[in-house]
Amino acid sequence: MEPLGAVALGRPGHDMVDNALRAEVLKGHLDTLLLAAVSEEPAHGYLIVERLRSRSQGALDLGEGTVYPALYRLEAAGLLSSRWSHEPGRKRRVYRLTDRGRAALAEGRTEWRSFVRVIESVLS
Amino acid sequence: MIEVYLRDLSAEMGRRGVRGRVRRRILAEVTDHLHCDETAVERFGAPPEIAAHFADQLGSAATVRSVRWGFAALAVAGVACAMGMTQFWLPGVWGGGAQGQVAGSAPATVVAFLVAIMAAQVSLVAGGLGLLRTIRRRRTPVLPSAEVAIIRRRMAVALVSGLVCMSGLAYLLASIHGVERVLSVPESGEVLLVAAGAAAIVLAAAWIPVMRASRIRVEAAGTAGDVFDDLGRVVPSPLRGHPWVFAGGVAALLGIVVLAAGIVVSDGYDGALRAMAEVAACLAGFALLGRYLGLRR
Repeated sequence: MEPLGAVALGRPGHDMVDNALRAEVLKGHLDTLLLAAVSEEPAHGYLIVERLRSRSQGALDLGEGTVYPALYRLEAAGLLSSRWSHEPGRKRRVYRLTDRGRAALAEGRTEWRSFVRVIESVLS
Repeated sequence: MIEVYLRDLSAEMGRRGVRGRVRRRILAEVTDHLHCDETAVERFGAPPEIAAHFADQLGSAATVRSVRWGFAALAVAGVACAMGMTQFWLPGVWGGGAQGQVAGSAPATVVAFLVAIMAAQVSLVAGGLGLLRTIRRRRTPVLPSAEVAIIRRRMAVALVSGLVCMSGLAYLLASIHGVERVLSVPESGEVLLVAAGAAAIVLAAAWIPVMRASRIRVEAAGTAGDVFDDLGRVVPSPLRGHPWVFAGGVAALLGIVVLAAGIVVSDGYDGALRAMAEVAACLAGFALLGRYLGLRR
């Protein structure tokens, strides 16, 4: 799947992207990123963070604890659903995308692409 | 190290009013997360910061939910209030009260009538503006603490006023029908009293989500806005930024409506007196509650 964040946030070594700007861009698109992270397969919180990190090749280094309030918010908005999964020796909450979440993700992708197009057209 | 972190996080959440089932769920998830990777504790964020994130978000969501419940309760009360006022003007319209007479102009009855009328209006305005503010900020997942405080106050004032209105209404009905008839509600079939009682219960029940929401401490930065942020383009641009002029305009408009209604129902003199009382009450309400309810800064 296409990593949504990689385009604007740059990859390691792209020092042109200022950290503050990066955080701001990330904040505005965190919901879409989280929806994208569970779009193919349900995942628990740690796995979601790992997916974002690996798909962005390390460029997206989230404050891990801040992901959970966002997951709660998306669940309350009906974009994600969750249930406990009991594995030997541990109990974890697994999040999956709902139909509304899928629609929101599609909308988020469209918005992001048009945003990138606009910025690209200005920068080039 | 993980245990220390979890203990601190639990305490920080408790300090911000995040308790019970929600806190247990958060801690269970965080426990799982931290046990996935030994270094995760360092990247997770400081407990006060994470607890604040949760509190801001949960507190905002709970406040919005409480407003929806509160407004639903106010709608029930509004129906009961409308029925009560109709009964006052047209005795017997809801059955059983055709022979009822207002017990003269006993001061207590007059006061009950005025209190019911004023409380109904305060309730409607405070509740309506509370709902409007949450609708306007519906795309904001975390509301500033100042905004949350205003919304909570509006809903609290709306519910208290609703209960006061129902009490005034009950007293008024007792004055109209006599205590004996009020006590024999099932026999006389007074739909009205049942409606007022049911509305009072619903209003009292709406306090539960309001109280729950108010336990969560929201600390997000930001300003609260005023009545012009609530009403947006409804307010003509010359009035924006001038709350007292706006309040005067609203009071004058209400006064005209009351005057017209007075002329239709009774006579012009009576209508004019009521209109003046309405204007005065409206401005007094704005002076007393305007800042508290976030109508003006």
